[in-house]
Amino acid sequence: MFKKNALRAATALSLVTAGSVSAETLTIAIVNNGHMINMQTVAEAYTKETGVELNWVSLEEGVLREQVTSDTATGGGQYDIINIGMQEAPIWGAAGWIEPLNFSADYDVDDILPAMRNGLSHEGQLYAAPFYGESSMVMYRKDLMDAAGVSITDNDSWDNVKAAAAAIHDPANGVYGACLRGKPGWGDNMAFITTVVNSFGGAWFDADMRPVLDSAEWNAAINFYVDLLGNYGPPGSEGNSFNEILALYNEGKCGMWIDATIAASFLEVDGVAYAQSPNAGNPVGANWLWAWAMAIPAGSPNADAAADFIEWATSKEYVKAVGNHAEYGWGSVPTGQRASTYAIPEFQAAAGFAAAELAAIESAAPGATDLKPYVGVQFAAIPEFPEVGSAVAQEMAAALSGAKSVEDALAASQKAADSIMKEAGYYD
Amino acid sequence: MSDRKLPRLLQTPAVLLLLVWMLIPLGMTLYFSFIRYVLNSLRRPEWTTPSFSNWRGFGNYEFVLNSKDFLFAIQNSLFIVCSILFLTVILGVLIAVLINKTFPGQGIVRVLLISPFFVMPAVNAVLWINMILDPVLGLQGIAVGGINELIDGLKDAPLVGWFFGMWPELQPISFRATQTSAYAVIIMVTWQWTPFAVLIFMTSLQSEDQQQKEAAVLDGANTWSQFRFLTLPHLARPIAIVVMIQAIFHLSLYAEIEIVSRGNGNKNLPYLIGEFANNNIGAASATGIFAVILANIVAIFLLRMIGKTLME
Amino acid sequence: MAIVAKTSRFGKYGRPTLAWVVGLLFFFPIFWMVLTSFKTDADAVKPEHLIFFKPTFDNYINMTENYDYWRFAKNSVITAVMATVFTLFVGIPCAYAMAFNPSRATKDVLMWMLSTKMLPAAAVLYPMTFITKTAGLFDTHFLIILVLSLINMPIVIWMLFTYFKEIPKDIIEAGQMDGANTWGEIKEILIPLAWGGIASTALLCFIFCWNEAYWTVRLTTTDAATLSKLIEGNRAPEGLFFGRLSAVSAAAVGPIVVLGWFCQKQLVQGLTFGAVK
Repeated sequence: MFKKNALRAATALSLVTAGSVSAETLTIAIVNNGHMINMQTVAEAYTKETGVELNWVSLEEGVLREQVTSDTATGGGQYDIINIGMQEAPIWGAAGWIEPLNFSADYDVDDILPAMRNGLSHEGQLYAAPFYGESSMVMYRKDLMDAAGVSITDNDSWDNVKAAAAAIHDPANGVYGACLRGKPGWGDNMAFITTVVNSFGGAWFDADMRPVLDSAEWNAAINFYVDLLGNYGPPGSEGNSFNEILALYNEGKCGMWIDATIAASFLEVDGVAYAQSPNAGNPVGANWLWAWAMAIPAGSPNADAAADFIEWATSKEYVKAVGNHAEYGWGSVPTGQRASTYAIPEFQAAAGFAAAELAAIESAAPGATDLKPYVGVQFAAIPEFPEVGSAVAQEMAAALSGAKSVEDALAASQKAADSIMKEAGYYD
Repeated sequence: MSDRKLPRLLQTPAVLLLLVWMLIPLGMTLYFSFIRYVLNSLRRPEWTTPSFSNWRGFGNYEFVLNSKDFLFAIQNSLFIVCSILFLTVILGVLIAVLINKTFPGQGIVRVLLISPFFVMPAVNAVLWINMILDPVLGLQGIAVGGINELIDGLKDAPLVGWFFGMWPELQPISFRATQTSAYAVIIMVTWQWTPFAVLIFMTSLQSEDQQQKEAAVLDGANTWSQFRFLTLPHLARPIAIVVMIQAIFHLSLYAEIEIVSRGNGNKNLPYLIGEFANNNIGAASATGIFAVILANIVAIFLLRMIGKTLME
Repeated sequence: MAIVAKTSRFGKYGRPTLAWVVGLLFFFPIFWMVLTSFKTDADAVKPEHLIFFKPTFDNYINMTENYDYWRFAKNSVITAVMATVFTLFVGIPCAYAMAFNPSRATKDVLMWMLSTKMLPAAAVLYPMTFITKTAGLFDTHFLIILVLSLINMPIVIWMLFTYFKEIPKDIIEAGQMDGANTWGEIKEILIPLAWGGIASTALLCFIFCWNEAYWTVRLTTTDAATLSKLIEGNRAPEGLFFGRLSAVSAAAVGPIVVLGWFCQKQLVQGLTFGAVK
């Protein structure tokens, strides 16, 4: 790390020259997601009450990660609060890039869903507070399934899912059996693909942290994925991630979609039904676990004010504030973070997906297990994962495009992952 | 003041500024390229501080050379740049010649034509890949769907139905696939930079010797030979300049590649640097040095090509 | 004059038609973006609302209310204008010296300057972030102006050099005889003579500054963030987005496109890069 004292002085200087930052202003980096956008409006009340001005910087996910990394790695100071995910929180906490979070008793830390808390902690210490959390589940058009005489149940088998997709696939009328993520990116196609691999009994690394992408489980999972999405997916799936598929789904183009539970609150098509993610007879199901959380970079000169804001924004009161807000209401409250949210009757009434979402989150286990020696469900919480994940993601997109066979893509993935892990010093 | 000192003095601010702008980053890149330097490492925390004790020699270079996409990135980089140059020059010359003569609405057509040049690269990319080229929701998808529907309808038509019955169902092209993503970038950058070529060629055509042309017409030269033997040679210099300026800009394409396919099937050295820079600064820096070397090779090539005309 | 008659038929109908078709084709994506910006996000992807739809200003209202469009726009104007001025201020004397007192090294200096444009920015992101933070310049207008100037200086000097070279040396020398000092020479003789060239150089520099999207996104937080950063925040929001995206895009490129329209004559006459004898 660069020399810290010099840096603190320098950042202090830069803040003075910038001339806009008093102790009363917090600069917050956020991803441009619905709940975050709503927060900007809801937080006007917070400013009114406390006098703390809030400065929002919203960025695309990839650029946000790059900015936040470059800021934190060079000692912080650019942002007081950053939006990070479950992949970063534990490792950044371990590296000392973000401050540990300790809240007052009123905050009720134990109310935060255990899966979320574990995923955002390092050695039992919470480093980022979940603003909203999600797992993944199957969302499908019950009307189409009924018409075709097929059905999907909770934790169905992949074979049955494929059969259902095939039955409702009708490209001539613009309906595709299965819309799944294909856009390369460790948080895009790899998020979904990893859950499929998990459910087939595979993992990214073995106990020595050697990549095992050449395993039979990966081969079976990827073959299944390419088969399912290639045959029953919309054209251009290599470019589809959450946003693109949401647009397709709302246009009535998708018969089935397996993605973040949060999608349920955006769906406008009639006849939506939910099912817990499929599995392939293994103890691990094909659902992921993710949270967009708020953390304080180590260099922030306003750490106390930042902690106060995070405490407010991730509290039970915030959920109520959104629920009672004139513009939003109970259908738009951030979910997946606290058990108490799911107990609110107004929320249960407004959100038909609530039970399915909670079940999906609770069944996801981010901790290290015998199957996988690392923390994280659809990723590994190690600093090298984004690099490994992106390299593999491109290979998977190539396999999906038909530019490479599944075997070649996996062989190339294994080679790339192996060289990155070796380079990082995990083994010689 | 003496004739020699003054010119130097006047050039000093610009030269100094650019020297600093080049040397400091270049120096740091060189330094980082020879040491182990990662932003975050749980296994080897000592690597997270740049220091000479992490000296690695050419280890980063070796790693980069052996990495999956290094050669592909160089190859592909040259492929995209050359394709864009080829297309913009051809289209630019044709369009410049087309609109050079006065016709009704010439001013408006010119305005329409040069507009793409003012568009931000990121806007260009999202506009094309989402709203135009998307195989389902974009104009491409809508158009393909519409045509298929039309043909489907005609299949039942009397008399001509059998004819349309033989037509295959049109399939939309996915421009984010491994095989096509480079073409998507070529299309959008060509769209943006053809106007630049048109502008320069048009300017140049205005200074074409009209008397010579009239004489050629009297000699019975047809339009083609006028174009081939008068206009084209006249455009040689502007073509060289368009090639050079565009090469400089397109070697560092970034936003378009990121937005179209995230490096799937389409990559260049700057993009590869960005991928490494996620954590492995040593490898990113070594790639940076390779990119500098490539840029200089291109620069020498360009210098040969137009250096002489520049000083005439 | 058979040939003339033959060509004129094409010249009379074919050429204008073809020219209009080409012009409209090139403009179509921009037109489409503007049209889409008046659709709701839901309408934007519906084939039945391709051309006929109920226009709405919601996207623009949302952009100015929730995304602080004017702050970004103001920063874009400030940084692009100041960077252009500064670049010319440093570039004109340099190009002047190179054009009227060239040495053997001039060509190499010019090529070296251009080659600095090819340095890959991504490789030095962390050093730059660190240096600018240490110097207290991060997220200041000053820094963005400086960086934009440095990025465009090579092209500007080169363009100016090619214009100045066209000016007969004796005109400048005549000025020297009259006892004008260097600054006077530049101000009284050079700038008026090369005005067209300087203006189109400035325009091009301004366009490049406005559209720069690597450093303006990465070396700013809020205070100096330009429209490029607004685009970065909106190019992939969660959910349906064609309408919203189009509005932000149209508002970001609108000013520069309109400026380009007004100045197109200047650009057409000025963009020679020394290619015209």
